[in-house]
Amino acid sequence: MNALQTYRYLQPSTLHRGALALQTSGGPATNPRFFSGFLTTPQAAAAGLLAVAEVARTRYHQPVSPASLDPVVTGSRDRMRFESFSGCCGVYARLDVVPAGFDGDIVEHGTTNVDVNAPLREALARVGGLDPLHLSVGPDDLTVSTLDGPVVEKKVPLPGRWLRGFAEVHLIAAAMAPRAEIPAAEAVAFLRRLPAGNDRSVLWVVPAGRSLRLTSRPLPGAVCLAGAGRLTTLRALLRYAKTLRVYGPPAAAGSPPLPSVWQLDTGALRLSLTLSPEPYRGFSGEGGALTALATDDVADDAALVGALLSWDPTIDVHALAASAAIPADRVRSALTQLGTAGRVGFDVAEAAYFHRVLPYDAGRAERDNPRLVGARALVDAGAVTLDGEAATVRHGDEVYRVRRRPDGSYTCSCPWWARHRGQRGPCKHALATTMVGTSTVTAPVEVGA
Amino acid sequence: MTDPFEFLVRGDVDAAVAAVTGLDDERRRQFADGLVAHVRRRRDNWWWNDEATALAVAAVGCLPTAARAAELLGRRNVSLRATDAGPVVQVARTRGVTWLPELAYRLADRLDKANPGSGWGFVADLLTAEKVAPPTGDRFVEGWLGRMAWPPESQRRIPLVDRLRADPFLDPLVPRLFEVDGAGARMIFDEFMTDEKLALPRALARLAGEGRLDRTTLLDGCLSRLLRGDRPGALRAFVALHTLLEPTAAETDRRRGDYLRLLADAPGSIASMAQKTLRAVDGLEIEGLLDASRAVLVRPDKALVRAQLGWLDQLARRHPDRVAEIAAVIATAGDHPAADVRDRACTLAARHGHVVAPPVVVGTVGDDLPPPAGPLPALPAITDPDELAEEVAALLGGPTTASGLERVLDAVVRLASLDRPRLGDALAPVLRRHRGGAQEHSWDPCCLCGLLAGVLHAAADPVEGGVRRGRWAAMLAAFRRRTPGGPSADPRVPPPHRLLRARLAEIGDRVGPPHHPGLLAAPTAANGVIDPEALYDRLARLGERGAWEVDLTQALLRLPARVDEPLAARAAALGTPAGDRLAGWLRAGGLPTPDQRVVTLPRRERRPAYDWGYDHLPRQRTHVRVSPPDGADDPFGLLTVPAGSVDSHIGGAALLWPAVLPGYRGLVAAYALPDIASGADQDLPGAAAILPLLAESGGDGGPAVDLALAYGLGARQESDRVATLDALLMLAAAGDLDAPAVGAHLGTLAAVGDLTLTRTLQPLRDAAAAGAPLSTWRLLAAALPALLAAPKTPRGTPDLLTLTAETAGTTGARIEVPGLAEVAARGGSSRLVTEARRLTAALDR
Repeated sequence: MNALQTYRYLQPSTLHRGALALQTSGGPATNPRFFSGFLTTPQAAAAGLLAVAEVARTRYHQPVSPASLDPVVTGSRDRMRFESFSGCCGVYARLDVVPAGFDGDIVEHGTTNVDVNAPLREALARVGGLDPLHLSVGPDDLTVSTLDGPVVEKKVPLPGRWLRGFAEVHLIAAAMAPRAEIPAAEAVAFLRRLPAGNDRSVLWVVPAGRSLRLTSRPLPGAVCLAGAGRLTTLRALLRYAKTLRVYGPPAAAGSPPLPSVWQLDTGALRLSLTLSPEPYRGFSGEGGALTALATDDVADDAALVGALLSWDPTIDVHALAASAAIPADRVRSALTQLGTAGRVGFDVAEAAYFHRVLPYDAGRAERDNPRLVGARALVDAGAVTLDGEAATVRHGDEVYRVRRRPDGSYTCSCPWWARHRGQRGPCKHALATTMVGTSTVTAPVEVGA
Repeated sequence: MTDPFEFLVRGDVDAAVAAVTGLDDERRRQFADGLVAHVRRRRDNWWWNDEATALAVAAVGCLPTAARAAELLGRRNVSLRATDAGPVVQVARTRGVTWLPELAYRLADRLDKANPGSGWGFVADLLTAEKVAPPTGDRFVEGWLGRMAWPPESQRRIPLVDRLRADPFLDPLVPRLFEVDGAGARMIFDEFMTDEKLALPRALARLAGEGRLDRTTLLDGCLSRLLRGDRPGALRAFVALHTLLEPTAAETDRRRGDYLRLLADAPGSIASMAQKTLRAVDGLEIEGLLDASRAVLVRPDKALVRAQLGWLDQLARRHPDRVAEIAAVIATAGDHPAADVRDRACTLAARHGHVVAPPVVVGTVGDDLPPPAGPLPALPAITDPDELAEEVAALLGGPTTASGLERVLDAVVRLASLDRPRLGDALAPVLRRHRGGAQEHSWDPCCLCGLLAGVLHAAADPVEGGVRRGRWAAMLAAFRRRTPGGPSADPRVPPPHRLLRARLAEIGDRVGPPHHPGLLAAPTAANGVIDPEALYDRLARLGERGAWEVDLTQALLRLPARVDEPLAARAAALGTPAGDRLAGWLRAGGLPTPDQRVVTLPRRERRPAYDWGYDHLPRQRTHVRVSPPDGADDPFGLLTVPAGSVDSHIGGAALLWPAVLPGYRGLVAAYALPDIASGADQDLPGAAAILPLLAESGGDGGPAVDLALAYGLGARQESDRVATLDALLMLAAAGDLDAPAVGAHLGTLAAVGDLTLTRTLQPLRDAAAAGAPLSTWRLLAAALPALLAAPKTPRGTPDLLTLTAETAGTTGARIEVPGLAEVAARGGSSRLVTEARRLTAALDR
């Protein structure tokens, strides 16, 4: 099921004489060209790019050999976003270059991979504060016309779980709200005192005075911080930042570990790290989109809404609802579906989706999610027997009971559900029950076929 | 017919050479197919030493391509660690094989990730024999480093530098040392024979000195690696190499941009190195330096900032024309978090004519904490057997929590009396799935797994209960016997836990009568407390049916410990034995207050034989011995906590006790104190997790709570210190914190070295910042006398004094600190004296 990703860059990305030439591969064209112009804060931008590349190269959980999938860049109307996803699938990094951060034109819209190599990283680390930095994303005409030069080709494994995780982060981010904002000086002290390295402990963070305080237990308004060593990457941009903002889903006393977003803002750039609820948990297994995928209700809406997206830096749900002539909540679920296919992302800073198309086939990976595959097998085997609000699922010698809760979600008596209690989405028994449940409503004939 | 590959089983290399010599193409092909099939068939065999050599000879002698040979020899069960390349090369020469280099390259890429040195020698020998350039892949480079650290027997007496000088791979592989991520972690080994530290950086520097290696390559390589960064452990070697190379002023000046960048952004030790290197250069361009200084002066590394301030001071004297500019940069350190750095920056800035306005201290007297939220209500009771099955799966499959356990026990009793067959159907599959987690863990005397599973089995099926009844009855009898720690009670099981176990036995024994209204002891609040009114209602509903004895005992222990005369009268009016017991309990106001005494225990005697455990025990530890007050009855031994011993350790079970005795914080703290202390003096993780639970409980504190907080503040793990801070703040907010008592224990423990003082700084600083500056100040004021009077002032005392001065200044409250004046009056300018004076000044303001 693991595919191979092939990058084909016309030449390696370089930084030479104040010109940062990032090479691209894939997306709207073989080697698209998105941008040519100047970065207004060169040092900060270089540090931000390095941070994004660093996350792409790292495995925070079981750090053995670094994964090496290249970051992707999206050129939308007045924004450039560099995204990467860690090899362990538990950290998502994004550098947003807002209009104040660049001076030039985005010549084409789309999403593509960018080459980040060792000499480039070294050169980025050397960028001085006083010289202007010219940035071009994509090969210039000269490079394209002299195609006979050496081509950089990299083949790296593209694991299904990596793809699924990348395509699922937006769902998790969409449930978050701002929880704290502290000035950079306080952020320096706060990030420094965090346990470093491979610390796995789950801590919580609450605003205290001008800074943040760690606490051992969730409270309303607290943000979870699990595996604090994963925030080390933020340090590089810290000295250019004005504020650190923290986002998280609503917490309450007794909450299980939750995901969180940590964002540094320099005014011209925003670097955000999204952390999974626990270091061992990749976003791929969070299962937020599974229920939607188990039923195909929103596929048509998704197709309709998808056709209307036009590389907006932020997607206005109401405007989209008006032009698609469907209610706003249907647009939202359509966006969720599109996100799972990698066609939109979510920006917590603006609390809005943005248009991007991952240069991978993310949708298929999610449809091949092991839990969905398992659920389909259970349905095909006729393992599900509905009775009222509950169901019995038989698998071999084992018997599982699935109950429907008032909010429409399901619980199960299987060990997996017992371990995660719905925190990582439904189990395969619950998914199978959902599939059977909906198909009895629409097409009762097919049950047990 | 004999097996043609029998020589492989014996590891007979000569036979292998003979077997592949003189084959024609057709027979060679057959032999190759047979060989591959043979290896596949013996996939469980571990091929090494001569077996692996024989296999390599056979593979090279018959397989058609390097790819096929690499596939066979690169299998995970083939170890080429001790494989002799000689016969392999000989066979290849005889056969006329041209692909040996390719085989070597392919095997180099397949070296073991964790131990690339294993098998490296074979690959290297092939390359040397064929006289080709080595591969430069990450694995091969790491294997090369592994070989340097652990040379083969024949070369162990040769110093590393001489081995390197003769190494054919030296020139092609040295540049890769700076490029391979993480290679630095393998570069910090010692010289094999002499144990001289950092053998490789020394050897490289020496070779550069001799001109054998290019000095510029090494210097630029180090800088480029330091700029790109790596794990801290992997950078040490490059810092060392850089230092050993002793860059000249001209070399440094040419790379000043890199050094300035390292000074501003690199980790502390590297930034210091850059600082030292740059300071040796005269006539550094000032703009760049000032720009970097702005970034350096806000760094938290105090030593680095102080050195930078010194440098800027020197610079300002040398360049009178730019003094204003330099002084303005110096002033940026005026906001530094460390007080001594602030002072220094302000002094220097003022010396060069830049006046910094003193920071305005906004004084808020007293703590400003949100009022305690009060206990949360207990989770709603389970009403459905399927829901119970889910909760049982969670309980058996994960950690046992008090609330999870109580909800399940309550539901088991109610649902078993309602519809036992349906309960049985729901529980049976779950109990079968979790039979692994339902075993009794015999090494842990506090284990509940087997007992709990027995109760659930009994609830699901009366027959299951029958077989366990004897054991349960024995446990109950032992519990009722009024001699605590009696003959059949395991002294390793503390009384609260014995109560919990007896309760489980009772439920298993009694579960199942129809129309039973449920347990009396089911908590009504999340912290385990039962609302007295709710218990009264339960007893009223129970009516004439007798209450289960242990259940009622637990229910009473969960009542708030206070006298409630009106309810006692109503309980007595019920006219049942249980009602009378409740009335008596409410009139007495719960358990009597026990006597508590702080005792310091030495560790046990060293055992005559080799005693590994002894050396890992703390020298001594402070516990609390609890005994019933004079003349008071202690039926279940709950009021008796022996002093214990330094190596007594309970583990996670302690987390269940706050809910057993939710109104007796001090008592539970005394039971759990050995565990909490082990987080500080034995570095055990999770030791302080019980403290927030204690803070949520009710009841009096006492020395055990104060000691527990003091030990918790000094816990090894950050998460434990954070948990202690939570408890401290909750207690302070509720007005239940005895800050001077905690401080006094903290000071005493740290003064004799039972506690690491530096660990307590951050949580105390956090406590002050989180709105409890007055409590922190009172705590610190009580801790300081012991610390200042200690014969050897513990590390961290000056920092503690700084924090004390800050909190004292913030609150404006005056507390006398005995011994402070003496230290402040000492001469000299040590940090201890400086900070003592700062505190004195803050108190005099």
